[in-house]
Amino acid sequence: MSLEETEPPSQTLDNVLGWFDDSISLTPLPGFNDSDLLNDFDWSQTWEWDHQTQAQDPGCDFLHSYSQDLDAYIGCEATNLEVGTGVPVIDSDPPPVVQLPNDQSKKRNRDELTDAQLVKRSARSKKKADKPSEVSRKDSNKAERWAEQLLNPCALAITARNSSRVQHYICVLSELASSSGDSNHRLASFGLCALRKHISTSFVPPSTLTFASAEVKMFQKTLLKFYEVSPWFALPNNMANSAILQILSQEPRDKKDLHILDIGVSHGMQWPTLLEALCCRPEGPPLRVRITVVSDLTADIPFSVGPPSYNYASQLIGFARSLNINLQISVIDKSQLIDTSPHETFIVCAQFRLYQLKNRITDERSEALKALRSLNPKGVVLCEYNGEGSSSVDFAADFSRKLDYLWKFLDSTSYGFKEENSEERNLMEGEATKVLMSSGDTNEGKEIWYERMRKAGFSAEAFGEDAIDGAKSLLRKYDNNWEIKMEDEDTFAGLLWKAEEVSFCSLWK
Amino acid sequence: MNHPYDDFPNLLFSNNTATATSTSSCVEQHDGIISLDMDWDCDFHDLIESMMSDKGATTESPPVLPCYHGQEGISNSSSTGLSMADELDHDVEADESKGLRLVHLLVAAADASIGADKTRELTRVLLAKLKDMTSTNDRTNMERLAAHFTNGLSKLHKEANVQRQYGPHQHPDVHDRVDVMLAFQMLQNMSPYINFGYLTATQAILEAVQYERRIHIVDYDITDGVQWPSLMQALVSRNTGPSAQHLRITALSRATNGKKSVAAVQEAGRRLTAFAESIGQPFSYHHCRMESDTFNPSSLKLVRGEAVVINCVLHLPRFSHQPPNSIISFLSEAKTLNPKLVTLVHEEVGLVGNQGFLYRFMDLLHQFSAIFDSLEAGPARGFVERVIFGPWVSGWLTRIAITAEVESFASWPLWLATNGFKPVEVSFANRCQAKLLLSLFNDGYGVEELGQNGLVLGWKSRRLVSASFWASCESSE
Repeated sequence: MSLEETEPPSQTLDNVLGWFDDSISLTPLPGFNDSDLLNDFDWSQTWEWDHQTQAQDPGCDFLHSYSQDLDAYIGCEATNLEVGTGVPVIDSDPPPVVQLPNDQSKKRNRDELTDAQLVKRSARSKKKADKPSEVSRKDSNKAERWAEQLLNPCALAITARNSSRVQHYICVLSELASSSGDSNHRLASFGLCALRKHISTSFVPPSTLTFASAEVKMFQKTLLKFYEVSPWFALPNNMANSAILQILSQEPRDKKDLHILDIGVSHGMQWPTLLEALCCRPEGPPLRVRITVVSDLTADIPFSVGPPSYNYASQLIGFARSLNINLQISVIDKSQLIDTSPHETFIVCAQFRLYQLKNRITDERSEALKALRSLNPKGVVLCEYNGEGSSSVDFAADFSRKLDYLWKFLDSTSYGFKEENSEERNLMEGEATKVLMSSGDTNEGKEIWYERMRKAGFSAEAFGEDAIDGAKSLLRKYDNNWEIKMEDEDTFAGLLWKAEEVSFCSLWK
Repeated sequence: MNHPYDDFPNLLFSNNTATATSTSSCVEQHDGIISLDMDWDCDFHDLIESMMSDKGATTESPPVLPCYHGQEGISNSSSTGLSMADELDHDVEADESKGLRLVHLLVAAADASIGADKTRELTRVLLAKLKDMTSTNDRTNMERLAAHFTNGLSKLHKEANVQRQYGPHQHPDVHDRVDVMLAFQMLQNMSPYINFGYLTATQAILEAVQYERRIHIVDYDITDGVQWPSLMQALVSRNTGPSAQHLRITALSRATNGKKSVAAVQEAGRRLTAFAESIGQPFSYHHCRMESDTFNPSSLKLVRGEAVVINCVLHLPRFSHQPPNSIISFLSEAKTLNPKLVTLVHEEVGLVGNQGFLYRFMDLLHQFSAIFDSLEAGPARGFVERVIFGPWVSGWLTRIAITAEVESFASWPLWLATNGFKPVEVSFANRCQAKLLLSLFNDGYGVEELGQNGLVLGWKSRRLVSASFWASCESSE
């Protein structure tokens, strides 16, 4: 009696295993965060290799590939323990060795990070780990975000080209997606559309409301409402205005004019409060205020393009006139020249727009900053989303970061808007969803922006007390999941939703 | 009730094109206009094609749906016929696509439930969705089965939650004992699943002890003793009067299962004793406790010259929790008794050892869909499903979720073969008897031989339960 005979022959595990093989080859996929991605990519490579050999001996090979997956899984759990969520995804090469979470390897690991920015980042994540409450809060946030736990593995399966697994996730997502449920259901719905669009050229996503297609009145009403319920833009705008006043106060009195280069997404919403504040100065408003708005109608990033017939200039000028301010507004294309004069205090206000510039072949972002530097502004306000790590060309990693951004938006919006499905909420969310469909790079961490600014010749400037106090008192109006965090000797103001970074404001000279 | 299209593994897995189209139809149903068009870039498309054709090559042509018999025959032949009515076709497609949707959700829920804390919320959402979609009173097999799996997973999920907050806690299944016994009997009439193991084991015992004066059966898990009346009857009909063989049964009970199991073992003893008396079979009954899952042969009462038979029936429905270390302890210590025969009956689930929860889950789902498919229809079916299958599925889910137990699921016959047991050949009579048993039921059943010393009951291409026979290497003959 040989052992083979007592073992059930593998052919009786009929075709069902065919489905198992495909669907299980990437499992177990843990609920993952960015640091898992590296390992996941590694799996996909072993999977492809396994699949080729699979035809010869399905049973045996299945075992083999499965145990490899399992190893990878265990390995990735181990790396999780060690590095937390702080490791940026920058390398698409497979990680060669999984390091055991012991002290020595940790030390070595840190030594290997020669890049200044990486060192800083790991130091920061270490600092975070010291505060248990914050960590556990983040963990519980992650656990609550179930939609990403389906969307991210699906994106991974797409990059791994595992069609049955993709179908599995798409099927499950279709069951749970709903554009009118809670934030998770909404994210599932938007994410599913984006994934379908990615894998199928014939897929036509259902039309969503966007700024560009909105009716002007509706658009205006929506912006007002959004500023009222969420500090998403209100806070950066507020800090920018404070910073502008701060710069002005440092300028010699003989410069009578103020010139602001507006590269932003506020559609005029930012300026009334600035104009009022200018009037309240003891010396009164500047003789002339110029706002040069850089428009880019081709941008596919959220919030940047309003309805074509929307024109806030005349309204704003009217408002300025009532305050006795001589306001001029000009709109220029991004390629047009900007005329500045020595009589004016020239300030650049860049908010949530520069990230749309590509940085793949040439770093357009750095180029743009250098161009701004050549204009010799007295100050630059830079507000950007504060993403994790740097952008990469990988679809799944990119998609995961976009989901993270959209989650924070949808979640915070659901707290702000009390109504389930008001028109305003739908419009804002529809516009935000563009991020998933856009081809643009996603948000980078603030360190990368800081590095660029320094390279372009700027140096960071601390926000004044007025700016910080003003921001803090503004934030009290909103849901108390919002926080502001001052760092790096007050040169950095981070806006946080549920203890996770959303955006940052910074001031440069 | 016993709809041919409920045969979900066939629908899902036997035909790749069917899988692809039904997936897209499932997606389609949700969005109205959208169908999932897998229009992949360049080589991706080729890859899928090659996968498809690969599988096509290794797959036998999809089995023609068998003609069902009995009361269902008429309605089924109309639906399997070529002239399928349009609306019926539509119905079937809807069932099929719902079945597939349920499978996807179940697999996702199982997948999420591994993630422990990280994916607790996802598990909850998936289970809530499944609960919305299914009920144990639904029309199709797949729907009802999904409802049982959903309940089982929910129980696991809840237990994990409760454990986190209050520490371990047991949720006993609450079904009336009489109901359970009644349902168990009904199940025996609806499927050969239970009787296959009992019958082949009993037959093998009868053959092994033919010339023995005294027979001593040590039963690992006697449950309520239904296996033994038929053996007694056979012994009585074989020889009466002074030449009658004496039968002794020692039933084990495990301390881990508490007082309830002790009471049940004693109750079974009373009933068996009464039965033996009524037919004139010399009989004695003992009860032996296993302390902390270790079997101590010295606690057995042994009589010189008696033939010892070890009976080990594993994981059939209704059986109490059988931890692998207790089975291993039982079998390895039992070897020292130099048994004449060891019978091993077990379900063909989770045979591939250390494969991870999701794999075992899918295997279990596949197993139970085969069992559901194979059950005879009848008015009592719903009752049997609720009382027997609900706890059965849930018990299995708990078992496969305990990682410590997983490795021991690897084939028990293999364990016996490598631990000093030798195979005992299955007799011709035993094989014939098993086939005879199957002839009483649906057409899809089959008996396969497992080497020389085993028989396995299958439904279509799926193995359900197997019986194999062994003796210790030192035993005479």
